Amino acid sequence: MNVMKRELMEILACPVCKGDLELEVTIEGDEIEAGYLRCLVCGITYPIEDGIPNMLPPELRA
Amino acid sequence: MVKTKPFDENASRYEDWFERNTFAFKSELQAIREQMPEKSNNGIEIGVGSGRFAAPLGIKIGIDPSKTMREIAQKRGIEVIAGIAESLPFGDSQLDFALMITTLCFVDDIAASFQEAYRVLKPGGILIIGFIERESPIGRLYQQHKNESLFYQIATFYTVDEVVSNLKKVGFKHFNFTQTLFHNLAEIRDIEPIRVGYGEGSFVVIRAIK
Repeated sequence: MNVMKRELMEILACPVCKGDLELEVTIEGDEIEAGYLRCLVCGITYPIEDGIPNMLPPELRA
Repeated sequence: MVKTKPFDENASRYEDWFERNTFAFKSELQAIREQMPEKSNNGIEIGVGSGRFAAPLGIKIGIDPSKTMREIAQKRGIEVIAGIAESLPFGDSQLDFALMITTLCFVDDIAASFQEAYRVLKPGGILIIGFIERESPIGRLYQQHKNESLFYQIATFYTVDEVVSNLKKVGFKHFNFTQTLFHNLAEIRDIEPIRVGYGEGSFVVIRAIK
């Protein structure tokens, strides 16, 4: 298993407007298990679940 | 519409292909490996699927819209992200290289996907595309039997010229071509050679520079 690492923040951006993201972690072991990413430009929030950030544009989320 | 349904629902069939076609898979893998940059590990796979290519190639980060595929890739050690090629969740000029292996045929918008790949690559960054060529022997066979395949019934195949023309439109340059799979899948009994150029092998690798 490989879950999200903090270093991923260096390259991640909002898939919609490409703005910078703010990371809020709710469950953290050595790496990020759960939390969310909020775009500082357009305000869209992207959930992180089971160590996987869901960066699908919101209209495509299941 | 994002084409995740067959991948979400038929993961074992997807995985089976690689077991049943191990020599074809290894030939494709080797063709991709030969086009990879030697030093950098700052790269991603777009459409990482179950991580079949990313894991042996040492690619650490992969993006895919299919939940089932992502979960398998995660178990293979890939740091996965849910996302689509047309709206990449990366900043501008961040990456040394990006791979798209048998992904092109499943994206909704090839032009937008290339535009996004171009955007996230650093100047001089490398895009590596591996795909079954539409007019190649295997490409023709896939299209003839399109409706019998869970995966290929939703696929759109392209010629090398179509791919290159779309790459050029967004600014890619310095194209390099290699090819493998010189027999139909049922006749492949060993790892196939990799040759420069295209027009003979069914699996073509295009390397392009930003």
